[in-house]
Amino acid sequence: MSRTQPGVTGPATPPTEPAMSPLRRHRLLDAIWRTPPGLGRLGAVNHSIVGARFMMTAFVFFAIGGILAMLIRAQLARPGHVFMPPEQYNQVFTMHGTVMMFLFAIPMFEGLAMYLLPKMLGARDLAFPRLSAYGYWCYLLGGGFIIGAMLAGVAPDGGWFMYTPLSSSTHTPGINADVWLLGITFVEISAIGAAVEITASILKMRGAGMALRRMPILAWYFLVTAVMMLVGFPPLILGSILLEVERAFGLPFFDPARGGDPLLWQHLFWLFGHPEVYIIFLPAAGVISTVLPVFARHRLVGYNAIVLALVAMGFLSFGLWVHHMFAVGIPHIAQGFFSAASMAVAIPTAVQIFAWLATLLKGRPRLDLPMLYLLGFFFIFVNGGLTGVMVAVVPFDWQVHDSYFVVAHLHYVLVGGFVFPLMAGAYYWMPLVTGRMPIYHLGRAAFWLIFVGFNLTFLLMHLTGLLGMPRRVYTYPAGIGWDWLNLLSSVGGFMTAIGFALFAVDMLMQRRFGRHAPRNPWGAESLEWSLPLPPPSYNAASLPPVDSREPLAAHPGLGRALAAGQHYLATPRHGWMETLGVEVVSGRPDQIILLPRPTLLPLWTALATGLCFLAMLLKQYWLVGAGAALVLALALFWLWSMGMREDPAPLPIGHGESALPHPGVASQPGWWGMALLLVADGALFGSLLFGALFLWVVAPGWPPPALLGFSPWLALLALAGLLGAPLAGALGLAALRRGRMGACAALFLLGAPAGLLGAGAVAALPLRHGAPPTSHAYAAAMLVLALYVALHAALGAVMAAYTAARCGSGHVSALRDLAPRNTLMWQGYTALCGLAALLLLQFWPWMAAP
Amino acid sequence: MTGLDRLPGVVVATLAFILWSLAFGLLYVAVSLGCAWGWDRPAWMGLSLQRWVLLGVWAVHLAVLGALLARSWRGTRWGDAEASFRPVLATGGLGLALAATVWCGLPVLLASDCL
Repeated sequence: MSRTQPGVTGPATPPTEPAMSPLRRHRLLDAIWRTPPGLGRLGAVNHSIVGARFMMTAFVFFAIGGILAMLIRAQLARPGHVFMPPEQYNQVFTMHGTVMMFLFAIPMFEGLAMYLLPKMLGARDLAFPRLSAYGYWCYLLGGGFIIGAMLAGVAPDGGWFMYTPLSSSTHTPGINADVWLLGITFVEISAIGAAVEITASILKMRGAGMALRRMPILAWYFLVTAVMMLVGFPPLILGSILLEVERAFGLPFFDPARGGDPLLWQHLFWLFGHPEVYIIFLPAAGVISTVLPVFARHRLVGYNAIVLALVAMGFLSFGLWVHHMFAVGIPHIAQGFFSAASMAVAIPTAVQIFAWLATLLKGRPRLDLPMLYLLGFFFIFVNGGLTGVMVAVVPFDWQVHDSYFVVAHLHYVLVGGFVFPLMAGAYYWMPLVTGRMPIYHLGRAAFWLIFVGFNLTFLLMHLTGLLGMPRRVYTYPAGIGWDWLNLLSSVGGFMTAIGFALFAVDMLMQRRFGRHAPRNPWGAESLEWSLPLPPPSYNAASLPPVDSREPLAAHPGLGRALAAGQHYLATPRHGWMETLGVEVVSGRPDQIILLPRPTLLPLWTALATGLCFLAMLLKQYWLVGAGAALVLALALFWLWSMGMREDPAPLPIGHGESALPHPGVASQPGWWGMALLLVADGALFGSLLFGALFLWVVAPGWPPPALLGFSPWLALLALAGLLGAPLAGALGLAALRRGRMGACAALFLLGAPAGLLGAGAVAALPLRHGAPPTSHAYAAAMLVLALYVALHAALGAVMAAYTAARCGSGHVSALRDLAPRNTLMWQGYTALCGLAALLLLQFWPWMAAP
Repeated sequence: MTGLDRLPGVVVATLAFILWSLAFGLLYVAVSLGCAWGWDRPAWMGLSLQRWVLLGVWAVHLAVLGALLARSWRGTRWGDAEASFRPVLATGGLGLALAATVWCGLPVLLASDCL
């Protein structure tokens, strides 16, 4: 297929071949879906390849983080040890936390979700395969950026939380902190992309009849996690931008001498950081809810209650961030709110634990290898959860704050809650990936080494903390009771590392020497096990109908029926990569989603994005502009290559039903993609408003009277531009509905100068008082607020011009109206943000003036 | 059938927890603003303006969630596991959000204003 999806020029009913043999169907489908070999693999967009790449890269970063942990334990094994100097130790413990949290845990979830979701949901791929590939390259380049800095000796050294003022340019000159801020933001682009991808795919790309109430429980976990990422990551992205801007240009957001406050960083960081714990835990809990019933030989008890608990955790986990700041002087009553929420979140967590226990109790558990790791999870995570409730109690937290007790607690939660379930999942799904069964002896030895080693390391660390040893010290004096505890912790650490190495060897051995796996080797009931092992590039030769939560239990012969082409989209046509789109709630088929072919565009775009970040690190800002222009050009080229030039007609999809190809459907994945992106964008804007209001309340002399002013003409111009653009867009869309293509193009074209007018006027507003933004945090915050709106208005102008061009090129019609609708959504969002910003920039100073 | 009954269960549960988030956020904002603006001095019936504002915010959210829960409970029809999905999510979500709002707001009755 060419880059542009062809119009529907063939017959409305394509030739069907009911007698087509499974082998011929396989060959035809594989020819359409397979990724070219050799250098062509660089253009891979297939979810199996990209998902596996994410997981393998994450495991490499896990190994790097593990080596750093061993360096830490080597240094702390004995009092007064000089294994490495303190400056290097600071880099090592900072990098350990950074690598494990940002380069291992989250990307491992993303990879797992990308690999499994289409197979579990009965689809052939994800909603935006090129976005997945772009996200992977951003992740790889961003991770390489950070690891490269470490090898060059300029790694970040202020802790994985980068607290200000330690991380400000005064106390951390050089590029160490910049590496963290820019590298992590680069990687976060990948995370936001993955969150959009996963959410849209779960909502829109499932088997026919897979209503929300029938979704595999793992999909619910992934859905809640992805939505949490959309809302939880933007505060950190904003914080990183503000801190980098402060370091690079002197805008004083965190400098109390100029109206800033270092606590603003802590708020923004933990607004991300605490939900992050649940973002890591929930996918692993989903693995448990999926794997445990298979080995308990009983379906999951309490599916409905678990889904409710997930929704509750998704919200409650955003009300905990201040419990990381109990020692900074927040009023007791506010601490009380956060303490209560920190305890409350234990309830939905416990609902899951009890559901799993009930499943075990009602079933006939068999102690296969994945089950062994799940039992390890129960022991470690429950203990970590209990110490979590302890530190949620404010007076206890004051006693153990910044001590090794907290290090022990967080490792019990994160290793127990993420790594153990993940290893269970690895043994469970490896037959799906490799087509081979595990080799049990090595896996059991690895488990016991890891389990005993982990508890030796971290159980004792609780005591070390209670005895008063603070975190992040590179050494300690002898004779105060910490010596033997640290030595044993180090021994345990190395034992754990050997266990993980054995696990890695076991995975390689399984791939090479494991016996061939039969279809559905565990007797599971979810759809991924209906596929041949390993699955072909297109997953299923026909897509399954779903009428229960356990489709393989209801239809044990489903796999063969799918391979025989007895269900949906069994006949390849026009060389299209087709999968089924469904209504969100009912799961009824509502469209045929046509997916894009492999391309190098994601790689080039990620390289251009990387150029921007590298240029920022090197302070070559002219190159940042050039890189950004290149990214924009590539993005426009990317988008231009999608879509159809003719209105599609309904096509048969099997079972006597028909559906429109997605360009002709309102609720297509592209619309959801834009809506979800704006959710993340809105979270970033909300964080920015929170930051400005936080400083207004806590920083003295906010806003400074000398910087106040009112510019009615500028405000009116800004309003005219910001409201004019969506107005023109709305009129353009109305004209399109009436079939007036020329008027539609002209009106969207009119939105471009309107957006540029709004952008210019808003950007000029903070300059009215003539004071530089480096003079006070108020001026700096107002500038960033104005630039946020101006950037969105300018991008809206580009989108309006693009939409006008699409109208002219025949890509848009009354039926194929995604570009106009998405542009209008963007313009409307920009107008709302602009109104809020104008309130702050113009009317707030007016109200606050003496 | 009310508008509430027509919404999917997961949407009702989400709305219920959005109300919890609103209550939680407004209580935190009210404490921050009240302490910054000196609302913690005794104002009426021995309670400070801050305490009255906090009580008001808390009570309004409890009342709204309570009313929604009562309405949802009246329309609830339980069935087998799949049929119970919506009521568990909708009624259960409202109940959980109400309980969480009661629990997280308790410091309004117990803790000092701006210490």
